[in-house]
Amino acid sequence: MAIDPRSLLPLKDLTFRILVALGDGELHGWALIQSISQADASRRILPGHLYRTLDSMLEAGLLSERDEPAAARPARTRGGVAPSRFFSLTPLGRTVARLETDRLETLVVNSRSRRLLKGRS
Amino acid sequence: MISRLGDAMYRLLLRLFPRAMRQHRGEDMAACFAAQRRAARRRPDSLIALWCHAILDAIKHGLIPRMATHVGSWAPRLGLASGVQALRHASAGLKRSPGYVVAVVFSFAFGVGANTSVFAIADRVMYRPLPFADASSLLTVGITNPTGVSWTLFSPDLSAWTERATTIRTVALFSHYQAAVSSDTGSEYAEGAFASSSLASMFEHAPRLGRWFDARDMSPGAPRVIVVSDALWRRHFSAASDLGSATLRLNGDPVAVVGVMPAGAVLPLQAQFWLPMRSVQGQLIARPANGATLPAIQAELTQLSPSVSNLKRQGRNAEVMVAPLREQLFGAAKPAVGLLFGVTALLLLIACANVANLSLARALDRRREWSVRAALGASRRSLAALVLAENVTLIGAGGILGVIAAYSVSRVFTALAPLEVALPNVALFDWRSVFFAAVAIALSVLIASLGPAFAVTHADLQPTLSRSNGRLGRGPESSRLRRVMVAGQVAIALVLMIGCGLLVRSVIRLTRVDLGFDPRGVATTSVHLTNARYRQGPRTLQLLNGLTERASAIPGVEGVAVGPLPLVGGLGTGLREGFNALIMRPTRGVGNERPPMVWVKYVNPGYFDVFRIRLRAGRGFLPTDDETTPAVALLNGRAAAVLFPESNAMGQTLVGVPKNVSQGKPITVVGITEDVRQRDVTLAAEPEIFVPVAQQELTMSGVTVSVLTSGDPQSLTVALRQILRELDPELATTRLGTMTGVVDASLARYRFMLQLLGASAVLALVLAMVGLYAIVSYLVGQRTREIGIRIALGARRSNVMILIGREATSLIAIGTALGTGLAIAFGGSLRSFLFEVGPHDPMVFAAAPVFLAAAGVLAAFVPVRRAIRVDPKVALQAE
Repeated sequence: MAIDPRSLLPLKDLTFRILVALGDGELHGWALIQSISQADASRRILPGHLYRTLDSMLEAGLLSERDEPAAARPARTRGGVAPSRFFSLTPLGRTVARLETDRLETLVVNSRSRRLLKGRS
Repeated sequence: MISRLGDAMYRLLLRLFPRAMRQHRGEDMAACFAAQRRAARRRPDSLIALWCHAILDAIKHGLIPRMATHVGSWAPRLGLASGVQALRHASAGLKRSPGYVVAVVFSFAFGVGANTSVFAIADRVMYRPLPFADASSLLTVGITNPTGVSWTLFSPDLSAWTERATTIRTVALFSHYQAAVSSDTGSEYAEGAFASSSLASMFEHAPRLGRWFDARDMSPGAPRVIVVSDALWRRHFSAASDLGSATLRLNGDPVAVVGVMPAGAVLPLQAQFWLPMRSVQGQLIARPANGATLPAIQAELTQLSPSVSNLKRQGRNAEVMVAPLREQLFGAAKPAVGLLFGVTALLLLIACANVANLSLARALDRRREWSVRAALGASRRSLAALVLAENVTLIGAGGILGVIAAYSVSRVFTALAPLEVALPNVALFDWRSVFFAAVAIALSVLIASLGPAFAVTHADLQPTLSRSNGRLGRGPESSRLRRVMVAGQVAIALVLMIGCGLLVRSVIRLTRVDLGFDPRGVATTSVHLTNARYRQGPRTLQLLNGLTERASAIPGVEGVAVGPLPLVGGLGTGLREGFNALIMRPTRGVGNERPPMVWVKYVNPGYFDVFRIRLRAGRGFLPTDDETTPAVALLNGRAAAVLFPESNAMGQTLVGVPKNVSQGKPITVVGITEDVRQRDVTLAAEPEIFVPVAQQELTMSGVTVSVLTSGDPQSLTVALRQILRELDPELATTRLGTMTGVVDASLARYRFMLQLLGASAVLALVLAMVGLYAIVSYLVGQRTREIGIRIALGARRSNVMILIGREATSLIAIGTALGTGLAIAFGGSLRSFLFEVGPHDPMVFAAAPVFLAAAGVLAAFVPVRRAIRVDPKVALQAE
């Protein structure tokens, strides 16, 4: 039975950040951490948190995973990691990311229209 | 190397994650974290923060979900759903205090890990049944004699007991033996034993291949057979599944393998092979008859023993000693193991007190939170659960890490610690150790949580809501409790510091002992001459001469010595490594006093130069002292005093020397040497006679060769082994090393205890000072308003310093008094590890409290400084 993307909202913070980071193409674990840290320097992601979240997202069908055969693996990255598993968005993942973005956008617009943030663009 | 250590530590942390996740994602997680470490390396504080977060990550995303999975299935039945919720809340709260988390987790990882490791060893030494049937009833029998207890018994005694004793029902014999074992695969020098046919059935173990010995194998002229251990079978025959016609060479002579035994199945524990016992001489193992008690067995065997009767006729006290087998195997290790256990238990107690103290402070600081929760309907029980959940999380995580570490290092620990606890093929770490660890963790949680849980469940929360900052004023019960815990920690820290100080003094004295020789620059090796070729003296002398000549030609060698090493000899019976024991009567007849044991060493002329043993009088041996010249001897100072108490020993003739030493010739004393310690650094020198090896008909079972070099002696050991291999490939060498290594090994036991106690004392002191700092800080915080008022009313800053300092001083004083009392009461337990230092040494008892007080001043310095800088205006407005 097809999953209703809206039933997965709202997303947890890290889940959404992973979806956004994978928007440009597949990445391995360390690259994901770097991408998220670049977007938000205050955000420290540890491997346990990352991989538990990735496993949950795989189970929900938001991501797919590809094993890189050893012979085909690129040389170690500057971080010294030899990547072996790459993650990418599924169509469901793209849809959910878009829906979550829309939801957050609506929230931001609403809050800016209230007296609380009046005067801020 | 640091990177590899970091990887290893992170992989240890990964064990907190569920197994499925570890197996599937472990490598990727380790690789990611390694990259994060590299990125953080530029700033040490960043690296520390990274590790703190990694630990929290492992707890939050590994341990808690793992525990929740186990608890989740039966939690609802036991009403533990709120427990899981409490754990989740605890992890969220702890995230804000990474430093606290790391301190607690590592304290308990060390405390639980150390206790579990030591328990595993103590369990083996003291409690776990030996791997033999009805092991508790097995006895060993020995005879006390002038030099101690002899566990090797001889034919007349064994025959008398076997034929006439009614208090023992079964006996078996074995005696230690060492031999060169070789096959087409290679050769080695192995520990083995001669054994009676009843030995295997005594322990109710059968060979897993082939058979044990029977009566036919014991008779003279029977074909030579051998039973080997699993390990030796694996090394020489690749663990073949049947015996076929397997043969080995034992000291060059062929012998048929008839059985393969699991190692540790029968005594001796380290034996790699067993041979049929053809002479009735060895160590006796017995099973008592039904209803026979130890005193009854001892009395009967004493009465029946011809050896004891002989000794008594000579006017010496002697009797048969019967001891449980476990006592004889592990008795020597008990004091060390007991001390280790005591020290690690004290450390765990200190860690518990520390966490209790800090946890209580955290609980008190959150009184307002508890009050709000209570007002919103939370029961006191659920509030206590929140407090408990934090400690369960931290102590549980630390404890689990400690258990994993204990499992990983248990074998290494046994190898490093100079304890005789070998029990091959029996796992050191098993379910008993895990159970002990679980109990230790549970007790730690209980001890650490009682105070804070009590504070939350019994405090009056209502008034807190009406206060502006939610903090209490001075809470008498909780404050007193914290003071008691800090004083207790200080006391324990002092006990460990005193123990450490006593050991430091002992080790310093040991290193200053005049050994009588100089170990520097000496390489040494022992060779076992058990081959039939060396039963003829001339062959042995030929070997020694060849060895001396070739060793002298090695570049850098300044001298070659043949003869037993100092510090290791003197305990063998018969001829072993050129060392024999004589009981001699003083020449001038000094009454009927007990004749002393005098050791005889066969040495070459270079012996005294290589070991730099000083001569008091006369000369050393010359190359011309051989079988064609008059027999000569050197005495050490002790021997000269004992054998010639009323005259100068120089030029005297030795009387009463057995023929195998004198060769029928009178022996003249030509020199007196300084005393050299033969057996142990702690034991004074005993009387020694040196005779030239060239004047002996040598039928020694072994010989030790040492060379002196101006370079690195370690580099010569390989050359020595090569020379021996060229002279006779069948010879097996043992104890290849340096004399400095021998001296270090003799001090190893003391050094190990010092290192352990030293590390424990430092850790205990740090924990105690953290506790002191915490409570003084807390008191300053509580009394800020009071201090502000006092200063506003004219009190000087020095008065404030005295006011707060008095608190810290009283805690240190109480802790010092308590600790001193404990050290006096239990100091005796350290006695066997001390050398020329009493367990109540005044210098140590005076110095330790001074160090403790100095550390206390440092710990209290920051909060006291904060107190004297209180601004009265700010303090009065703060409420």
